[in-house]
Amino acid sequence: MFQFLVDVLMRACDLMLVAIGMSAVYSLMKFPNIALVQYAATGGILAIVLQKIGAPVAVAIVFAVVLTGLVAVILNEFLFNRMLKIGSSTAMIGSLAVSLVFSAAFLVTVGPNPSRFRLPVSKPIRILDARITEPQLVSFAIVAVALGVFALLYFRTDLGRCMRATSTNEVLADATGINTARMKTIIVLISGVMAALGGVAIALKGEVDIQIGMDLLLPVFASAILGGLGNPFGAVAGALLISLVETVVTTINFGPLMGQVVVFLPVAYASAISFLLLVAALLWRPRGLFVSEVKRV
Amino acid sequence: MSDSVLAIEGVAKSFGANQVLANVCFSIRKGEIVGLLGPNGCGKSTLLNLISGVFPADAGTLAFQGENMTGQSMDHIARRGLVRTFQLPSMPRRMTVAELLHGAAARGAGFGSLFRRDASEMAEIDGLLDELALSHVRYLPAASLSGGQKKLLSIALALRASPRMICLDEPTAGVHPNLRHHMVGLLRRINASGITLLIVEHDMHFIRELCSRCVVMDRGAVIADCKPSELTSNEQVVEAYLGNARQKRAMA
Repeated sequence: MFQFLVDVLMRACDLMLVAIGMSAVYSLMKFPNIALVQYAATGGILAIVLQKIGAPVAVAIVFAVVLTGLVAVILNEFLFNRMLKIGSSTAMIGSLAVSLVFSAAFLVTVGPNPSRFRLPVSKPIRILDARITEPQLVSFAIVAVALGVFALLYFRTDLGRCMRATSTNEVLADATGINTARMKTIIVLISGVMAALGGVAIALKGEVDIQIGMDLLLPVFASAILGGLGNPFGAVAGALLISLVETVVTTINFGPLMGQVVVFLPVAYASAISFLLLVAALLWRPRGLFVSEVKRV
Repeated sequence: MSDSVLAIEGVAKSFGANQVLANVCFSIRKGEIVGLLGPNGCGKSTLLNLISGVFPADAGTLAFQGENMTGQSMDHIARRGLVRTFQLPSMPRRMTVAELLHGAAARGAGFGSLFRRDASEMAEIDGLLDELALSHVRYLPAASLSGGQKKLLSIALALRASPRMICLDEPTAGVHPNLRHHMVGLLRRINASGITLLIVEHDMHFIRELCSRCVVMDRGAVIADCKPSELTSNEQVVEAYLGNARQKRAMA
């Protein structure tokens, strides 16, 4: 049972940071940036490559994350900001195109074979009957710390207040002198860093191949939408829900239902589940699970 | 005019074929309270949007404290001390009134006040909320306020942005008479602290009580610039406001 909880949490960690980034960017830029899943891939792959070149793991991770954040800012400045002047759907389609370019670039540079961090092999720790490896713990800690720091920034600092003010009414924020253009650049940087950290967290737990970004797309999108696009901490709940359902579906023994002893759904079905949840959310809760009742004209 | 705070010269603006403003010229001196009047569609709101930088003017210049603001971004203009309020502001759903007021003065400059807040800042916000009768809603989401309360909050936000001049967009429309009276006092006090005011308003009583000068617009041009008491004796103003009624009376 505890193993089940650990599995859910680990899967949620994979999705959470990228989903938060997507939601946060949406709240200020008003378009869902699909390229974020590729920023996650970039973070993970870059960190592995840097370690291969000879950098210590921690250094490799920091460099990869910072570089990815910068890439996010540059792409935003030169591509997405310009596309947004045409329209948010243009920017979204543009971000899909950018994602495909990323996939091609990964294929050319690192090749189709999966790679992983070179980490000392350690025995899994047993906690309450669940087996947890050291890299899993580190990856969990990275996600938890990133989440905590972002929450502090978002809710307790003036910067966060200004970002939230900008997200709800840009003109009003402008009118009080908030530099909304700078707020947007900062949120893009933060989202790039968060996504890259998410990618690193995934890479720490196992192999990473160049499809990792596109594999993340559906569950991350579903998490962000379930949480209500533009509500970054809703995306946390969305990620937990998606992971819960994915894990339930892949660990339940459907055998007795079908008159057989053991029938498990293949892991491939997990993404079908996030797709189903996404469709359900779009149909019944298009503004997310946490629609606040505060809407007054 | 060396003591002019805001100088508007030859400003024009069209939306497609609709010329909303044509060659508008006037200036406002430091410490004045000026009322901006005119029938609906005369270009008051457009002028306010040009002054605050919502969109740029087609022609002419807008200078604030000697600095040319033509084409500057809205937040730049606001940081220079020229701020505005909104008639029907939409407020955030996930931020409380107090949070919004804290953010408005900060402008995202730094990470300040991570946990502890400046006692004097708290006192300032308390005073502001008291004055605008918003104390009881300070911990509510800003979007849950009524239309009148949002308007008051918009004024509070403007005051938090350390303004040198505030442009108020119909501050009394939809506000309870008691509060309106209160607002006259508040705006006088704001003015006494050295802040110049430009007030777009339909309520003549409010204008008479508060303003030392009135600028009247009609069909995109300034038709009068005088004391409030002189308005009724100004032919053009009477024409613009009552033109139709008069004609009808003449025909009857």
